[in-house]
Amino acid sequence: MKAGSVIVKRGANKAARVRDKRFSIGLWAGYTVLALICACCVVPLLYIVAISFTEERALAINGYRLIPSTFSALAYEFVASNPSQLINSYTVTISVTIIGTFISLLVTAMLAYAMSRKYFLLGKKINFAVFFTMIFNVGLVPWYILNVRYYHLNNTIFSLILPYLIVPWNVFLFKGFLSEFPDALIEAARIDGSSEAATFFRIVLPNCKPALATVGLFIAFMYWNDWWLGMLYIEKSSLIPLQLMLYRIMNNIEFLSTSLNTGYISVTTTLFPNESARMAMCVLATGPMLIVFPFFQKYFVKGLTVGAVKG
Amino acid sequence: MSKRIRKLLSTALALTLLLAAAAFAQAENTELEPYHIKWYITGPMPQPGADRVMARVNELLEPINATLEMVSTDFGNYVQKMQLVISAGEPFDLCYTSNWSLPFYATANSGAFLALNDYLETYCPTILETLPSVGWTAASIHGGIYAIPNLQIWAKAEGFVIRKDIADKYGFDVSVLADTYDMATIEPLLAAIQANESPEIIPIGLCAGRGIYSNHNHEEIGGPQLPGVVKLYDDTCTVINQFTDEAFVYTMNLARDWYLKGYVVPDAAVLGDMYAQQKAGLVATTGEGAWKPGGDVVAKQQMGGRDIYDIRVSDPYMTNAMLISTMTAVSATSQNPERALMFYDMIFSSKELYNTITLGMENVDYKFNEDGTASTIPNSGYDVSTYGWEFGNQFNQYVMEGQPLDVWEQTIELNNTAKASPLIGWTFDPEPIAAEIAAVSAVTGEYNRLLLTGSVDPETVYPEFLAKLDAAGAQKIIEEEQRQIDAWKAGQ
Repeated sequence: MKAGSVIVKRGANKAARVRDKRFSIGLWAGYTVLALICACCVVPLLYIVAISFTEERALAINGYRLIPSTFSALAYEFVASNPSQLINSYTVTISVTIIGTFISLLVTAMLAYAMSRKYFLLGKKINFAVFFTMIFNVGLVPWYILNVRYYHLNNTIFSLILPYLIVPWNVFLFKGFLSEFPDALIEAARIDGSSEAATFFRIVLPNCKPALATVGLFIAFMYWNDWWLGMLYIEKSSLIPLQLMLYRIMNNIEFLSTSLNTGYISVTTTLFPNESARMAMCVLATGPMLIVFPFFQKYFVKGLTVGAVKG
Repeated sequence: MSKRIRKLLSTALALTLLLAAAAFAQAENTELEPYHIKWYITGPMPQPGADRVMARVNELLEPINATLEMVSTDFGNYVQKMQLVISAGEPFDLCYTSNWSLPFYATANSGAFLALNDYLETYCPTILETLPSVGWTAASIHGGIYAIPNLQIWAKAEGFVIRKDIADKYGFDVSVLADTYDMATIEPLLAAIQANESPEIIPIGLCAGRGIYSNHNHEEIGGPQLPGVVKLYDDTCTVINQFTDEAFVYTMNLARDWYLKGYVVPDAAVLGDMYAQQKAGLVATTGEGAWKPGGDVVAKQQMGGRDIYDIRVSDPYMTNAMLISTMTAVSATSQNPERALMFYDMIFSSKELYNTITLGMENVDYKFNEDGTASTIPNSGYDVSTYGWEFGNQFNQYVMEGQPLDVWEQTIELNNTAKASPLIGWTFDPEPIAAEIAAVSAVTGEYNRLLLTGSVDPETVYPEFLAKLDAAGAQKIIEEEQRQIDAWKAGQ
């Protein structure tokens, strides 16, 4: 409650200041530029939604329009013609995103905290270890062999979660935020007899919500958008994530239509989803994340500047 | 008993014993150990009905006591996935290989595939009987056969599509084009469309992805973007630059002429395809990519279901690339290659097996019509008939609704009459001149679409194109191609 009222107060001050400069040309120029940039981001999205609801013939004749000249939901019928797979894939992706984000965020935060403590003996070494993997990696084949032959991750849901658990870049982002964390707070907790774990969970974590939100959002996007792990490790159709499923549809259409041109193979049907179906897939793939994003937004502005202050 | 008779008798006895042993072995065959065959393919995404169809396939496989698992990866990632699977030494039995996805010669040379020479006669009698010998030539490396070419359309011819209603309206006789193969003969039709039809009708659907420059009886060595072709009738295998060939110049000038007259859409050079316009009925004529028996059905669908003339505008020919464009190899890591090959032979011998794999189950996924053709049942959850060329013998497929009843006979006929390229059995290794290839491909990629859609003036741009080709190393590519061909010919 208290924090809320502070924000309101600050907002009011800001509004007052803005009012003073109402006729400033610089301000309006700034707004215009920002509005243009905003439009550059929003208009293509609107186009995608509009095209996905336009009838195919109208697209061919009139081209792309923001307001569909002939409304049609056929594209969605095409994509949903196979609902069991679609629902299945949504379930896989949503559970992977939720479980993955939770575990990954926890591990990332713990690692970053350990690395940021100056009195921790191995801090520098772990720091180097994480940094090292950022520059050098082992290569695809050994990584694949390790996961398949030794960990036996293939065809399990863990293969979609574990490989992305710790991303060095996220760890350093979090560490950057924690480096601004007042030492006094942690020392006070120690003096009061708090254990390291309790300090971390009860003092540190509640005070770095912006970092948690920002890094959490990055991780969530990473899990949501991933089709690569699915492609490598998943052979069972019940475990295929959403992005991989949509990616396959798109990829196969593209291939089949070009192979029709080269004529190397005889393709017997031409049941390609058309332009609007592709856009419908795009809406299905990105839509849920668009809805989630605004909930994180209030932390996001602060979170973005994480680690940008000093080295 | 004379010595001779005794000898004869003992021979007969030995023979009987041998036969008995053979029969015994045959009897043992029915008691094969159960075996699970893993087959990597590319393309079809997981089908929701796969479980029940695979159950049916496994019933059909009972005679060889095997079960089948098909693992599919999309076209974009198949190569990488398979390279990982192969380098990790994972056991599997069969996989798809070709010239364009999981490159056959390179992968076979790396030792990933099993040489089949010793197996074919025993385990693949039907395949040996069915497959034309030219297929084995293409699948051989230094005498070893490393894959089974899938039987499908091996011959290629160029095609051109004209909407029937429009051609008839202006009394255009399509046989002129079919007889001369000369694209300039359709000019009167284009002029009539331009003059009389509404302006939204496009006289010819020329675009970057679909030109009228067609393969003029030559094999393109490194694909359409790379200089270097060998004429089909040239047994000396002399590599020439097709971009300086008169056929290229002729097509380029024709396209320019048509562009200036307004037969071509102004933004043709940036359009990858015109499927949307074709479906909407806005395109009057268009190139077809590849002409094939039954191809008119596909073309008709592409033209939004309008009746069309589907005209062959070149002689049929057969190149190495087409022969090895779809093959199936047995993995060197297979635990039981014999069984894998017995299964693959069954695909050739059993129509039911082939069609269960491609079409699914009768009356669930597909049904027979009164005229004997089959049609798929929409949204049944299983249909991979688009990918029929991946599963052994496509001529085993039931004739689909709309296809001519003798589509496979026609295709076999086309395969048999096609002029075979002198380069069959050889493939180009681009590795030594990778840098030049990248540079030259960038140049042809930029200029081809401009010149062949008529979007720019050849007077000024064509010399510029040739100069840039030279600067990028076109001559070096042609020399390397020639060198490799000469080395291959010398080794034969």
